[in-house]
Amino acid sequence: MTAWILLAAAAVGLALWGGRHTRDAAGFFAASRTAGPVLAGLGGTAAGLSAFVFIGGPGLFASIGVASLWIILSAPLTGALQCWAVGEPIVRLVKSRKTLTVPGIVAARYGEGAPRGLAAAAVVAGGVAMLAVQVKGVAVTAGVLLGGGGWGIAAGLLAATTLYTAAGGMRAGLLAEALQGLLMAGSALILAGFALARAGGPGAALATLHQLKPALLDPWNGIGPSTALGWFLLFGLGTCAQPHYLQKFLLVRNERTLRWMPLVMTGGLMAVLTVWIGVGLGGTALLARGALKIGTPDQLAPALLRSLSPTLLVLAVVAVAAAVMSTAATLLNLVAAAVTRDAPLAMGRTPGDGLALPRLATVGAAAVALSLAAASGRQVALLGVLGWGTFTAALLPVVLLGLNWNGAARRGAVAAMIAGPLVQLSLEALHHAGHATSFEPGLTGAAVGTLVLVGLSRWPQPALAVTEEPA
Amino acid sequence: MISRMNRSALLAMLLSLLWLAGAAMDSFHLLAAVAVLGLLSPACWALARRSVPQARFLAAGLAATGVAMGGFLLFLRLPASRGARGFAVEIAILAAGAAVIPLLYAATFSGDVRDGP
Repeated sequence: MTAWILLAAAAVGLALWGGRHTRDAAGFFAASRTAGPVLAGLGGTAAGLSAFVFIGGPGLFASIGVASLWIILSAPLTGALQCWAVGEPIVRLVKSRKTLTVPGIVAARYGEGAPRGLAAAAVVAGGVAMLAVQVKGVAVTAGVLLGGGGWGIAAGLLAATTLYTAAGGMRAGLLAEALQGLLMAGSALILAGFALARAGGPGAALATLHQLKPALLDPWNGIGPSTALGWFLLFGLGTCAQPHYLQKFLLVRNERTLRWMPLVMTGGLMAVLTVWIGVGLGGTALLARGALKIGTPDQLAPALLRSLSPTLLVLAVVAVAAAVMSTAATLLNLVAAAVTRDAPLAMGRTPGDGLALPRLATVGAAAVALSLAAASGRQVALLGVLGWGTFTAALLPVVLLGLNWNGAARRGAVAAMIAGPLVQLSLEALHHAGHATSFEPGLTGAAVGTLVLVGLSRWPQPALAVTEEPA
Repeated sequence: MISRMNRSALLAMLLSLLWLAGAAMDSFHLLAAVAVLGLLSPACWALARRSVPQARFLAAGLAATGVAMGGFLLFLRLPASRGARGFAVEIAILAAGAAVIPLLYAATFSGDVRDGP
């Protein structure tokens, strides 16, 4: 009860502060472009890392062992890659176009209308799926930790996040995310250390797996080379197409902010990922020895944390809450921007004045995500891959290639944003129906989208006229 | 004549085709080549722009990532008595990459965001 009162007080306080300092669309969607490298870097890492890492990661480790690490193997490179490959061109576009949203980046590159509309549709579809991951992740965790009531807690956390995000937009959201990122990094290091110590250290844990579950030490275990290398690329190059990462480049103060952003992003990322390796390895070893009992893989992290001390249990719950809230805040804002700003602009209309509609859309996005999470029976990690894959299939070719190649044309971009998700969702549906293929859906969608983009583009292309977005 | 910029597009198209072919044949070698080249392609773009310092940083990033990938496949094949040490080395490679790559980016950052489309 005390924790709920503290959370409610913090959310109300942040909502009041954010509401007072957020007066226009630039403040609501782009935090008035005031972020320095620490705020933007920590915020970007916190928004990108979520229940997927704290719950889905260790759960995936329990299912397939070290093969799950293919998802995080590119982590040292991704921060610098993002800043170089997409951050720098985006900052340049922001300077000339005053772009406020991720679909706005696509519109600035390919023109208004269909490009902005399709990008907005991808943001809404992928954003709601990823929001559902956050809700389901915390529901599973809280349910196992407290023996029930997980959905009530998940709804409470989402309501608190919605409150300050609806009131203060990214002005409030970014500040909260940076603090939550610090909390997640510190907690992950502590939890990973204790989990490995409980299993007798990394050496003992690995020896247990080698003796009792040797298949879990096979780098291809249960997935094969296609999926493993697909994950490696999906989460390596795919970071350049995730709106919750791209959005942070819209919030930075100036181009010099980019210089130190990778250091902050990568440092935070690596610290938080220790929970995947530490809790995954330690927990799986304990599971193999029979020291832990779980019903589904997603219950590994909660079950292990419940067996630790009450203090660590509280720390784990706070870290998971921070992870969920930080990602949810950015996704809520992205979906609200796509619905209230990008959709009207794509149809040739001027977005409405004031912040009433964006605030209402923020609340609506939260309600839809809660319903989707309750209805979905998929494992948390796989639901996360679905959202990430949709963004990759729809946006990777038009953003990564489009921002670095003059020849990318509007008709190619429009066709790529239709073909990519179509292929990805078709493959996902096939997988869901039990017809497994060796094609990783998100990456295959992006590959097809790239072929379509290049194939339908005519080079050289005339440069687009530079016009500013309406305020 | 194909310009430097259009070579980047052709590389992206080639990688996409190779990826689809590799996935269709479930060929480890083809897919591994795409995985390495996929992360190499930004370095190729940097070279196409004659931005040698940044190409160097991206190549270093690729090398660190490639070593991490190779190490991952190699060390986990070791017997259990050496597996823990191999795993520790693998984690150390990842940590070293995480420390060095962002510093290389900062060292080669000019402050003028580059031109683009």
